[in-house]
Amino acid sequence: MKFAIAVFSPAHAPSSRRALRYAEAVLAGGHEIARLFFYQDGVHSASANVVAPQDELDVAGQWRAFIETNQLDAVVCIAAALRRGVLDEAEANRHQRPAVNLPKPWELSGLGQLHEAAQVADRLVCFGGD
Amino acid sequence: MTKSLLIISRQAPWNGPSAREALDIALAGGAFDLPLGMLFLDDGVFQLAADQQPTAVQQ
Repeated sequence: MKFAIAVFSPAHAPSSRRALRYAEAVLAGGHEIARLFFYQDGVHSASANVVAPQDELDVAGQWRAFIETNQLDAVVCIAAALRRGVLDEAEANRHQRPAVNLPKPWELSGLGQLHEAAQVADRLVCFGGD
Repeated sequence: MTKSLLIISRQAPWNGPSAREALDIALAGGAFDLPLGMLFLDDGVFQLAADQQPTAVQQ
């Protein structure tokens, strides 16, 4: 089965960790992930500047490793990300901001990517949000 | 077959960007002519009140 997974919460929220475990289980079960989409505060789950305390799970780092290892399509909503200060190099330059916190494998794109993933996948599963 | 989507919106319009961002999902889907539903739940119903004056809370 093909899954699209949307994450609406930051790396420190339990739902971001649950989304990651769910995504791992999807692949472990022999299924496919059409796309991961990060929206609302979920864009913070993609930030490379999250520093987890030593005795806590580094969920943002685990997301990055998971996406790189499995070469997944991981899209961060550009409007939600700009509003929250999550910028790739192009956007940091465009808006003249001093920091870049969204290197590869993440990709900034629009909400159309969420809809496209929902159409392509058999299931869209959402985590977090309020 | 085109799949339909139900968007559940549960936040008041003055409570951060949540309500606006839920609406943005609907607007983006509308651009692709997708069959969409909106469910206003909990404080989300405040989005439906008429004659709101967002400038009073500097929005």
